Amino acid sequence: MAEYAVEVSDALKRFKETVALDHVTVRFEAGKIHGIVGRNGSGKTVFFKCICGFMQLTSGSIMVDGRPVKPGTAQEIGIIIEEPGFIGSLSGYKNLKLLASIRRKISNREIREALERVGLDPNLKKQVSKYSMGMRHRLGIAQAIMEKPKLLILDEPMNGLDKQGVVEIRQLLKELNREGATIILSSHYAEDIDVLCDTVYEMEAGVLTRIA
Amino acid sequence: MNNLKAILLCALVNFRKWRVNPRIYTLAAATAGFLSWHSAGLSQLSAATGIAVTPWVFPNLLTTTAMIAVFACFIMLFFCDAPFADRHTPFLIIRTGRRNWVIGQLVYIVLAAFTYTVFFLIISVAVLIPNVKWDTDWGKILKTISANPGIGNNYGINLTVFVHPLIVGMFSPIEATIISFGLFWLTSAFIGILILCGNIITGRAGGLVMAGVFLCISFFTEYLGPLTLNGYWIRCLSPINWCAMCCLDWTGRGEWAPPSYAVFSLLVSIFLMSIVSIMVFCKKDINVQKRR
Repeated sequence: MAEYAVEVSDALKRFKETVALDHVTVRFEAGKIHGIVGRNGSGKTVFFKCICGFMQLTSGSIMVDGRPVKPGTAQEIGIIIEEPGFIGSLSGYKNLKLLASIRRKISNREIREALERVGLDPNLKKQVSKYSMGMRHRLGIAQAIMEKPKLLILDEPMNGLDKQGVVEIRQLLKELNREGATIILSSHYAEDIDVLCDTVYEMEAGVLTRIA
Repeated sequence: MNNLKAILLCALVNFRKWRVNPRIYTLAAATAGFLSWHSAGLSQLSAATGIAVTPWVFPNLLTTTAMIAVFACFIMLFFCDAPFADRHTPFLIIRTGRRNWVIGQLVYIVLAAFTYTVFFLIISVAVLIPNVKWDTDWGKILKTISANPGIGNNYGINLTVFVHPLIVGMFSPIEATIISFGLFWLTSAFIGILILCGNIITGRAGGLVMAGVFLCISFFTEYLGPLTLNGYWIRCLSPINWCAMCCLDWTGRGEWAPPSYAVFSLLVSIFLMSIVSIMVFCKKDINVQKRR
């Protein structure tokens, strides 16, 4: 495994007149939890989308696990970016089973374990269209962790969760980190950053600055 | 092999989303309603004469410009949100890669167009029940209408189905149905892929606008054809018309596009637009629609 899970070099992302990422250079050490704080519209989500290959940088480069990010190819990253979406007519378990069938790295048992870890019942037959927002977010987290990726990109993972849910997910993220996952997350809650993160960055108007 | 499985999965996922997509139900209801209205005259004529109509109505449904326009609008409704990216899409793309995902959307359009064509064919027969009777020939009703389009007036019936004498004279019902099925499917896929390609390139509903432009062209070629200099060449630029057998030149008179030209043009256009779609999609930012 590379020393740095993600290396961003002079990343610039421009949308016509707006600069969303302003020459960002940062290296996220593997095996740690990194937090990014910032106001709405500061560029956090754009940053995550560029790391995942969903957006192309205007200039600069991003390496994940020592390899350049190529938009055409699949990546071994677990993600939650913006509100998670699923096939509404299927149950949570069937949704995850469908996604797991792409890489075919995990068994049904591991899918069920992922659901249990986020506090969802794997036997629940309820369609996702009838899930509460909190349940959808938990399912989103289960989707991100089920294949045990080495890198997790989580954009505001605590959104929609109740107090107990936040505590449970924080605990889960710590466990995943102990198991070797590198986690890069953003949050509006200072407590998430304080409790979880080894390093903390602030994104302001596309400029990323380390603050802790 | 893994790529092929990923592509098929990306295509089939869209079918799974049909159950919670109100647009699919709207389209199905609108199609059934339209065919019920369109074929009402046939049923009434059959009841009035006491002669059952044969099930070979499909090749004769889209024989006027207005009906072709209705068909095009249905297909545009079907594929208007191509490339069908929603909040579920990032979870697929991170696992399959962009290339496989967008190829999956192209495969979906072809399969969905086929499914809709089958649906259209089945409903075109179903709406004639109980006045339909199986026969391998065109039957008296359809042959009479082809020879005398105003026959409905004798019974006070407004017939909207126009049976082209060329189709009835040159082809058996089964031949005409198979050819019409192929043309309907191919044109539907063309419209769908045009919308997908245009929407990907413009990042908005540019594809839908392009389809609308072709719809306008198809609406006016019937009238513009005779007015253009040096023949009916403008009809060779109107792919939407090629969904109907009566808008192709089967006899070599030169008033419509030849069938081989139409099929070849549709296939080449579909292929080229698919290549462009894949190339552009792999380089553009992914825009996800806020849809359940």
